[in-house]
Amino acid sequence: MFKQYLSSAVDIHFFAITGLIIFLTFFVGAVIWAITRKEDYLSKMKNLPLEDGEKIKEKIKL
Amino acid sequence: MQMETFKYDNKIVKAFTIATAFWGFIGMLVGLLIAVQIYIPALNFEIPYLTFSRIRPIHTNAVIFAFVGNGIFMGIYYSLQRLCKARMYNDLLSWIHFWGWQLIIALAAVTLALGLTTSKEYAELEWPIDILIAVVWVIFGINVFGTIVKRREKHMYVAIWFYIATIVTVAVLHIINSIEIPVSFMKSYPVYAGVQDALVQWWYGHNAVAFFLTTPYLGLMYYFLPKAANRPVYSYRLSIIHFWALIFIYIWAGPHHLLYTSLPDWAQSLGTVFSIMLIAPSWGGMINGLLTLRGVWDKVREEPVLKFMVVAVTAYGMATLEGPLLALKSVNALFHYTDWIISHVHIGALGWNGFLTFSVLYWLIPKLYKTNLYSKKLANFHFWIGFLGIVFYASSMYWSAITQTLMWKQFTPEGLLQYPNFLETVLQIVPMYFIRSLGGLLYLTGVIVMVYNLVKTAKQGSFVDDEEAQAAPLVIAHEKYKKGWGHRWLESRPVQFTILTTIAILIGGLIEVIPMYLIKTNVPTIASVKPYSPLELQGRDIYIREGCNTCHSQMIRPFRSETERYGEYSKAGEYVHDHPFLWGSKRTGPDLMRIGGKYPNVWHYHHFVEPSLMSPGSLMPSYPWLAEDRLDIESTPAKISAMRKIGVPYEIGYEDRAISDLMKQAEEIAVDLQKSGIAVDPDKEIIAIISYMQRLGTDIKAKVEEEK
Repeated sequence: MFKQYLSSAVDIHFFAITGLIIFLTFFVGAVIWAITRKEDYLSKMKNLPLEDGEKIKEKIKL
Repeated sequence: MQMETFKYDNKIVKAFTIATAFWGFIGMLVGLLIAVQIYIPALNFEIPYLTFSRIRPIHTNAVIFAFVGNGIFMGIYYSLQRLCKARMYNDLLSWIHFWGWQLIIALAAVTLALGLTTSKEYAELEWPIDILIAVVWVIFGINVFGTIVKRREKHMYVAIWFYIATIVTVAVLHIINSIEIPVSFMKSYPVYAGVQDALVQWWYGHNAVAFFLTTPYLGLMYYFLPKAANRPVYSYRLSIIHFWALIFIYIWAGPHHLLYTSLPDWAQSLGTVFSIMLIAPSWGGMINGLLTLRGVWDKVREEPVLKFMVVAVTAYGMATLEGPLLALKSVNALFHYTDWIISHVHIGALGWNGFLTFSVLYWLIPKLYKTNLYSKKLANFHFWIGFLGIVFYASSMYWSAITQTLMWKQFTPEGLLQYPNFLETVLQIVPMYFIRSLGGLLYLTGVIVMVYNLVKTAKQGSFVDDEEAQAAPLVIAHEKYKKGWGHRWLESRPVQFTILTTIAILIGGLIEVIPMYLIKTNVPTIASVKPYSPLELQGRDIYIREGCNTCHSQMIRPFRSETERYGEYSKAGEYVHDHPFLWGSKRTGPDLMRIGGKYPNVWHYHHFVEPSLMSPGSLMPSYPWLAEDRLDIESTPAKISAMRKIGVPYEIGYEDRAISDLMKQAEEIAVDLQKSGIAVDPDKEIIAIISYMQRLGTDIKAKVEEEK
């Protein structure tokens, strides 16, 4: 079936190099993204779990 | 700003907490049973439904999908509502999800005990249940995305990203690994064969660990750890990198489960490289979790919740260092197939998943019932007894692994195997098996104490079904952040975020799997490898039903210590008709790849009925019912037709002659057994499985003889 048609057309190194490039781009992108975040945004995000809008505030303390 | 008042659904969270504790207890109890059975095989009472090879998958499935599964849902249903400042999208969907999942678990327990299994690890359930899982998972997905869409909080906290990645990836993995062709109700064959099936299975298996046991629990860590410590996560930047790097890299690492097997070398190397890279994001996550506690370590000394969390996160770090090390080929050569792998997964299961679940339960139950924990003393007791249980479990299994692998590989000065009898290497580690079960008992005792403590806590408090909350609606918040860009733009738009996540997880899988399909030379064919005879095919299905692959591999690695012990190493081309592949992942018993022709039929007959007759001291359970139960001969034509549809070259119309061929071969074996004084009807199941045993690994021998 389609396997036979493509069997000679594909070079395996193409996949390896593509994989490497995609990975590096992706990773570097994520790092740049994270580094360029502003402090006010980060502190807002950080505190999200601590503000859940519950009306009855914790009677218990941990 | 106009505030909206709404109610969080606590009732569904409560339901999942109960299910988590209940299935946790059951899953661990079955674990303890099999831990004892492994050194007292008579504890199967000669009942098929209680036999190790059938109930070991019940233990793994119960712990992964029932205990941790319900734990995931418990944590997500609690935290998602609060992070989105919205009630779950639809209460009915919540309850369909809850009961649907419990139904799947119950069906899994029953069908696995009955031997209705695909044999693929952590994907053993048969096709009707696979469909049910897909449906329930989609309902869960709709409910979560619906909640995200109607949220009142503009930004999606990092925990939600982990939840989204989990939902998307588990769906993809489950569907791709479950592509199978039904033969009958509750029996199917996978469309993939041999090497391809192995690659797809371990791409799935590895990522079941990644996206079922890890990413959702990291989401829980990022929510509940800051909550319990009452301080924000150490570094939000680090959590961004943790997330993207982890989900991108994880998906590539599957082939490390197949090092030194017949999988093409390039795929093995890919698995190793990405496994090593995984250390970075995993440890980034662990450090982020632990450093959240900076400045409050005094609290850790007093609070059982935090104690459990610290050990859980540390266990995550240990397991994610150990995993990459085991993915090094030289290390893998020593410890694959040994108890090291069992220890490794239990550092994850008992330490990371177990302890994190317990910490969330200890934090959540008092919260839901508006009270304090009934007894901190009991919780501390649980912590220490559970911790001790892990130490007993892990150290005994490491010891057992080192002992056994060294015995397997030990040669005498003359160049012969020092321990040629496999059983000798097993009997050597029986004391370790005993200590392991003791560790399991301690751990389970802790769980029982926890359940008592939590029930007492619930009784002294008062549960609130619908928790009132207030937040500003999202429309107003919208304007404020309109100009955001980059990640900020992305994480406030769930659809785009989900698409990017999906691309990230698909790349690795595609690059690994596509070449396997495209390039024929990856699986060199061997002319003498022929399809199984109808009787052997039936025998193979019995092998699958009884779960023989739980303890026996069919994959001889190219080491002298293995070729000396088992025979010629395995070639990829030998498995081209194997739907599914049965390489196995653990050698509790010896490899069976070249068992064909090694012993006479009568040896196999006695060995199935009473293994210790043939190998005194054997720890294999008896399978006496094989000699009594009649083979379902009528199913043969359907099986032949199904196999042909997925590419096995049975000639057209062979299904009509299959039964007579089957009977002919069965009678030959029955006559041979008769000569040895065994009177058995040719239509018994044992005849079929003996024929399969005698066929295993012989095709390649036929080729050698031809050449001679």
